[in-house]
Amino acid sequence: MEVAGNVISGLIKQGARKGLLVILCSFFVYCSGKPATMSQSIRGILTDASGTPVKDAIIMVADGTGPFSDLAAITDEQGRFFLPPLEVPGTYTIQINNNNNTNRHKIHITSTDSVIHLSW
Amino acid sequence: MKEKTLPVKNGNGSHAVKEAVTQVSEQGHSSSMSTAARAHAEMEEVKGYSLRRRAEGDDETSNTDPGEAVLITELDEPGSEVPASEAAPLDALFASYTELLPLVEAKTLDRQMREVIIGDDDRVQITPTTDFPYRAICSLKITAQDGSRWIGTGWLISPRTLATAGHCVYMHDHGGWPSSIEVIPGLDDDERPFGSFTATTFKSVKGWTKDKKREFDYGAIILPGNSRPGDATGYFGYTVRNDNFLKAAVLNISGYPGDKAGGNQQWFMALNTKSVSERIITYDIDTMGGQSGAPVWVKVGNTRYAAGIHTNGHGSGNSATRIVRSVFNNLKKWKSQGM
Repeated sequence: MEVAGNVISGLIKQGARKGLLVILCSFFVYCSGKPATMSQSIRGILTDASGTPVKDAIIMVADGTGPFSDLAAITDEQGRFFLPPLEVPGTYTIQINNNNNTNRHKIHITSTDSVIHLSW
Repeated sequence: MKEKTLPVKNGNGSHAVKEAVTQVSEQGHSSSMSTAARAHAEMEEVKGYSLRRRAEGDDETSNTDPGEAVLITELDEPGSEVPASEAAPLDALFASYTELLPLVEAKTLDRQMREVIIGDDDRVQITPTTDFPYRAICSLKITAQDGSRWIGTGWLISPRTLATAGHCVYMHDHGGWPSSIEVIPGLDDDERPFGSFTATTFKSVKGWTKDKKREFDYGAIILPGNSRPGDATGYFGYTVRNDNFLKAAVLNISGYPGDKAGGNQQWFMALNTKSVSERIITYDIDTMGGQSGAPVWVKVGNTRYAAGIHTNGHGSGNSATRIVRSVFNNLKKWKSQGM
């Protein structure tokens, strides 16, 4: 009886170890398979069709895969602007308002994108 | 503000609760909230919360010398909705021309209804912006330390203090505290009915400025001593409310979205709360860039109390920093610095 008990106990422990191993492996696969995101400030330039910088346009994030601060940016004389920090990689809809006209761009931003170019 | 103790009857007899009352003689205004309603509100609030030490994230930071800590026990901080200069003449006017009263009442009713509209993705332009509470909501033209320019929203909580998002007064990637912010109460296209003011004193908390935690994304703007727009516009009260209250509440947001007339128009929307967490309120109210820092307010009786500060957009729901006790305490402190 004692031998049988030890065998059963051993099998249970072995099963528990295997179960634990499976859980750990699954967790590892889950973590490694999920793309890491980071919050990143994005710089941009707005130009018109001829490549001329657009000044005093309003730039804002209208939608996206991650949360974003509800600030709006104003372009400077060289058409430069910043977006609020965004979780990257991610896909965002950027809205431009200039002289009461609206233009939208859906863009995918990665951590290697240092400057985005938008056309008006 | 001061406290007094008064007995309140309930089914088991009477017990004492603390009631916050406005010193009419001090500010020249009185809250429109009835004593009974206020006592009821105070009972609910005190029951749901206990005094405890603030989390370190709520420790104040500023681009000027920090103020002294203030012990706060109130959970509703009334605003000032009717400047004294307007209240008395109106009473006198109605006494002489009673036929005008229905017109004003109709206008007031219309405004009250607009604050409970539950619409489908509909924002409404507020114009003119000279009625309360819209005149106490301000367009912010922000110039960061690195020269970049931004649009945000703030709301007066005292004659010289505005509450807003932390990221409107501290921008981690753009030099920290802004070099200046132009504050324009009730901006309405080209109209600046209460003028504009330049601010260089800003407040926030460590949880935002040091740790960049979204839960601590709130701050304040203190206007110079000679800039007191709140005397003319009135200012918001603010409140700490429990989960059940907020989940059942209709939330009102009005601010300056950048997709409308270059951020120079005030737009409003109201909708029920979507969800509430410990420090965040989430809703499907439409917002756009430029509305960061806008008040998220509820109506209690005829009084408006901000319960959150709008900060974030997201496809799954826009959200506000919830006014919890520690946020309330800091707002109270910053308010006192702008009286």
